[in-house]
Amino acid sequence: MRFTIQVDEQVAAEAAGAASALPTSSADFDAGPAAESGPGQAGPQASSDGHTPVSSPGAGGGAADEDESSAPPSPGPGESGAADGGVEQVEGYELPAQESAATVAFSVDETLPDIATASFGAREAFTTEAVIGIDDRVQITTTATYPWSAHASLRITANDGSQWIGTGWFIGPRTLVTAGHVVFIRNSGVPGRDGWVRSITVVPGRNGAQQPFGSAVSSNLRSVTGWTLNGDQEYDYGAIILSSDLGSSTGWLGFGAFSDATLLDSVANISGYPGDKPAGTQWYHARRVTSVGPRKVYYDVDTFGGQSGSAVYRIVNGQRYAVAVHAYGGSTSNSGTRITSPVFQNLQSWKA
Amino acid sequence: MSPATIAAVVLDGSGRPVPDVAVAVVAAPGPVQDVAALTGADGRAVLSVPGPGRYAVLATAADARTARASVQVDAPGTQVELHLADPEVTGRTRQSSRPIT
Repeated sequence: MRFTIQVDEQVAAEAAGAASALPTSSADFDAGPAAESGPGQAGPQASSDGHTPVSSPGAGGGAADEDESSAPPSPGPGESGAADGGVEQVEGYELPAQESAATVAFSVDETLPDIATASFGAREAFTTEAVIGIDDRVQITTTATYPWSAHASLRITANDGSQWIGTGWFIGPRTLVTAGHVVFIRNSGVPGRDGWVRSITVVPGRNGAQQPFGSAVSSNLRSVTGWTLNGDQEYDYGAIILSSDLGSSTGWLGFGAFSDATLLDSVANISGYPGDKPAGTQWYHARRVTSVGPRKVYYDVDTFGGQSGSAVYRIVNGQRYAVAVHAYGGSTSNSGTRITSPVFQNLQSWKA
Repeated sequence: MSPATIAAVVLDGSGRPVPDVAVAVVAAPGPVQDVAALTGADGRAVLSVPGPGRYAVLATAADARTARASVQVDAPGTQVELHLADPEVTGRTRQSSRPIT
């Protein structure tokens, strides 16, 4: 999105139509016991169908052996600012005290004052769009310090040579997690584009032209059949394996499978590289989780194109644990692929 | 919905193509992948969208110029032309209530 957008439900329903992937009520899902982290603890149980891991042709050495013990974060260089109350302590950012769709002011952009011209389509009211007035995303300039160092700007080269931007985050010295559609393009409608992307340039902690940890190029990629074969949004996650251990310098985030109740009581933090800001700058935002589904997490965190693959993380005792992989912007909420137990196991197996 | 595409071309004030501009869907009838395409040397980028409907597209250049357009996607290969301009300031002056131009 687009910034998170709150719209009248009727307008949203009309706009979204029957194809909308609306959040599944948490009541539809019987959560397992609360699991703060760790593979041995029962988090949400999703079918393993679709979670069969697959690798790109460029995959060389593969991931390291599984680490069955845990998926803790590994703070990198000089942590900048303490995390408290579930959000990062970032100058200029404060989580709103009251958050609900009913209390958030919104306005419907009925005129869409375009600067540009569209060669197709009438310039008529664009009733699907309603934007919260204030853009309170905060730019992170201390990107060489943890946790910001663990987030990477991605420049993706697809099979057809087209270039894209996305975001990834370290879970180990050589492994970054990102969205499945960042590493494997499906159903693009463009000849020669679909399939494993040609390569991805990873720039951890990038701040515009500054690359405090340098960069690395990889075509050693991972995803699962639920995405590569079926294109199912609920399996939209993947990984990038580097040949160098950049993550040892940047640090990495933890991750875990959590219960519905825990997620619904969490603040979703996202930091990434949106395309509507100066090139290669990192931006942070946080809002409470709004709803969860068996394989998705929904939130009103502001995001924009370029942030696919970002970690959606919660902060527990000052430690950052990803709970989802950001993947989609929507007219009513943004969403990410939930880290369920099968996802957790795959991330563990990809961790190098 | 079957997939569709929006072929965008980003131009400067003189009508020249602008490379390396981030182009992304900013509003859509349903969820869209949160990626942005970068224009090539010809100023072009082709976005994939879930299907027919009305979309808004935003282009952001490295020098902060932006362009935005609304487009109705009815068929594959829908095209949109984006003309970069400086960020627009709108509002009213306090004393005169005259529009700022």
